[in-house]
Amino acid sequence: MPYKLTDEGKRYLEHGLPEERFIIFLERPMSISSLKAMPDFSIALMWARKKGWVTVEENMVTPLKKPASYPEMEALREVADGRDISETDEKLLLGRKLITDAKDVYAEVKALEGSEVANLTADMIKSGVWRNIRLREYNVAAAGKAPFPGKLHPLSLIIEKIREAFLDMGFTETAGPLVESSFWNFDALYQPQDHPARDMADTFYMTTPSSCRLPSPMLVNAVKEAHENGGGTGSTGWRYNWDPNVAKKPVLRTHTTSVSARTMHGLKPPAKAFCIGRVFRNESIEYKSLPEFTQVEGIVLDEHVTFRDLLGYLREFYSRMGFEKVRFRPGYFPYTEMSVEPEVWFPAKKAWIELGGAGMFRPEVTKPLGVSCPVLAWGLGLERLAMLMLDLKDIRNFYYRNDLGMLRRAPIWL
Amino acid sequence: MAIVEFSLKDLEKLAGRALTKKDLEERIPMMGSPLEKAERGRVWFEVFPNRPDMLSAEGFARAVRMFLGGRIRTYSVQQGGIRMDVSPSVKQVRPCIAAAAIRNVRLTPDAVESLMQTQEKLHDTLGRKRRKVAIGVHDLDKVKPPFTYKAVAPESVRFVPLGKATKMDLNEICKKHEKGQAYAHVLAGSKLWPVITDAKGDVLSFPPIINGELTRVTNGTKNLFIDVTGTSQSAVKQALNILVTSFAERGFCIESVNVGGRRTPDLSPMKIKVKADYVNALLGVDLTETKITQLLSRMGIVYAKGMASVPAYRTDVMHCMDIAEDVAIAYGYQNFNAEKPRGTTIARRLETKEWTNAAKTAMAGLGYQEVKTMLLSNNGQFSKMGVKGNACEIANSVTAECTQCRTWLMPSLLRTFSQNMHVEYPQRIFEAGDCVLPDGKAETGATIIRKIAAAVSGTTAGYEEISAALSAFMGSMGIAFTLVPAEHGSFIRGRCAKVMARKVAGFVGEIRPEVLEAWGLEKPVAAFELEALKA
Repeated sequence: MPYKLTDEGKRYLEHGLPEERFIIFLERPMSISSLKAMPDFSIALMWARKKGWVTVEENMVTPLKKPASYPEMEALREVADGRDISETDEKLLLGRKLITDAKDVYAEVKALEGSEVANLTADMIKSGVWRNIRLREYNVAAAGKAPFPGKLHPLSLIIEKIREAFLDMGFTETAGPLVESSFWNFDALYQPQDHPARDMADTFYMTTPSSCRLPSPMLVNAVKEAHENGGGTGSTGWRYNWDPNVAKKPVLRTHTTSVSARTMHGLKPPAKAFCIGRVFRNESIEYKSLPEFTQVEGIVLDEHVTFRDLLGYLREFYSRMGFEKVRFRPGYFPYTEMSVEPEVWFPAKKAWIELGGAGMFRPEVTKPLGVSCPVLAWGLGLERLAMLMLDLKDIRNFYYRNDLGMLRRAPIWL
Repeated sequence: MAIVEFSLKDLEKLAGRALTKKDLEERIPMMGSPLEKAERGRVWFEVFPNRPDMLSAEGFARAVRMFLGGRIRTYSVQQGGIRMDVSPSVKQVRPCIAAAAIRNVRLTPDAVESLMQTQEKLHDTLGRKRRKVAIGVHDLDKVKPPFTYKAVAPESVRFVPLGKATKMDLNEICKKHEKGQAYAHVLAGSKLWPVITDAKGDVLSFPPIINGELTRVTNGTKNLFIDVTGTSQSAVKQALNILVTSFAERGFCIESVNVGGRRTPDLSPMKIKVKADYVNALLGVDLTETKITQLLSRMGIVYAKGMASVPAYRTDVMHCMDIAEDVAIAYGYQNFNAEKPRGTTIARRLETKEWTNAAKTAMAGLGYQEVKTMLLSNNGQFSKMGVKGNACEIANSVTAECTQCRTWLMPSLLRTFSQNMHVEYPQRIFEAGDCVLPDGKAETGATIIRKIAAAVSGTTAGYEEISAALSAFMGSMGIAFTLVPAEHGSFIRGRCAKVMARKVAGFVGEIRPEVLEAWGLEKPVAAFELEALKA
């Protein structure tokens, strides 16, 4: 078994055993009090008596014999030279803690006993050495260098907050196509085929895919009738010839209302649904505009809801977004009547901020989709909300430019 | 979105009352026309597309006057002797026309300014940039009725267009005149083009392009002739009604014209049945017929015994719901008692969203920062990545950066690195998002694929780190997988593996230097991208 000298062992090897030095020094009987100043006196006296070299009587130490050799010293030398020693010597030296298992994992920290150290290590704790060391005090006022955290994007957090708000209010989550037919994006929402929003200047049209399939002839015909003559809703309709080929044109959806239309189709009240997703407008990439952004929209189908319920849902929704003060202005959307533009009080800016749109779907929208009850709907663009919350001015901070410096610093509690 | 600009003084004169700061900032917006700004005696309002009648100062003032409690004014049309013959030749190119004469005109600077703005805004909105409706306003005394509306061969007619000094034929006007260049496309595809001429054959107008210099309206103009041409008879009629009633608001007289046997303008109101019960049920209120009558009169609508008479300048009323909205606006949105949500429904979450959220948490936990990039891309998603592929293609993008839908996320991550070369390294980023692929079998011709991609960039970024991250991510998501050596145009040969698992598929590897160079990157990048497989 390999051993190594302990600090005490090393010292003895250099200077001799305490009892060795003691017996050499002790030529005649001497009083304990006169010997006490000797280094390692207690250890030396104990071993000298144990080995029968001296007797102690009445405070006087009397030498009996001088040994011819010192087996411990020889054994220490052997260990120091890396040679094996006898089992008897092992016992002896281990007993006196002059040698130690060379594999003693704590040897190093034990060496630190009594001193001041910078780091508290696991070895110090396990070996118990911690009891005999002092831990250096730090400058605790100085903050360390910040690591690069892995985090979610602020928009993800806002999306999650809105998602949870809708779920808490009993709304089922829905999703729909990003490449959408004009039928679902416009026609099913009673937007006439010459509506400015359908212009090439506003909407992305596709070359691939080149055409979409229309839904069932019954639904298509009902939508056609609504456009042309009101389709039995009591409306005059838009009074023009509706063209199914225009409805087949694929677009990148311009709003999540297309998903609401798909969801509404054949849905039985009472029902609530919401959708959060990317929408697209044919705009250039500038300080205030992006060709894509994220929209959220919720709908409520219920036989018994009125305009007052719409306002109530809006209040509840916005309060869950942290806006306690909400007011309502008339707005305009081609597919709702009693269209509302909600404004929320934004305390940080001390201003009313227009945030989103709402309304009740027109019968020209709902009836062709097989819905005969009132439908409440509202939605908003998330980037505007996010810019307010994060105090950003340039919308290109989203999607177009991901500034990692900003994202690393961004708070995740909004 | 139309923003109209008025002189506040003119607006007040037309409304017959002073307009206070409170009127401008609080009461008028509650009609549905928010104040955009007010400075130096001028005001700017937003007018929604359903109210083109409010695009003119006169129409706006009329709506304000009534909303603030003023009376409803009715307009009379004098029967005039002017005739306008309509040739069948216009059917193929611009079939609809209506006309009116306006007498005793006194064109103040405010009136001229308003007329110009009204005409421009009506062209842009109701007129769909002159395709559906175009308006010509003429000095009636410069020409001799009867007039003729006909379609002619472009070279056969020559006249001096407004703002020019020499005669040009219709072709020359379309090629050389600014308005011709701007609007000639409206007539594209037609061999014969429309003109309006007088008894002597002089040209009043070449709709929808330009009027003749001959009938230029000046300060001294006493009588006006208005032509409205287009492709929709109802839109043409609406535009004319809005214009003539605007003139009537300034005290001018409206005189009818016999257009091909019909008398225009026709200002008879639209009648629509609206039951009080219906309005009350929709709005959740309990209004009496009398109260509804009072409220609707503030919107210019006469209501009695379940019948609403909607003035001829209103173009937006199609259904009794539109009348209910006017009741609501007059009642005041701020006066409705919001009803706390009631009724029980059970919410359901989309599993794909839940899965994505878990995946995002796993990646963030590995020290990767989430980025959110554009779904719009361009061919660089293939060419700069050393791969080939098919994407959904956009026909008409105004931005060269956005001509395709992205099919994978890796290009966006490399682009993000290229935008952040000044930010401290190592950079670890990920994105979870939708990609779109052409799909002939899908209803819309395209299908959405949900992908997740992660990348690390820095001096020591490499396969060992990214494959370790992949392994940790897959462990977190509970997905057993194997890596099989693979070839991929974006990844270094011998340092790329295919990710094989039951629920996902993808690649992991070190990005090729030529790809890094294409993105202007200077530090190595290692990355993986996975797509969720459909069950």
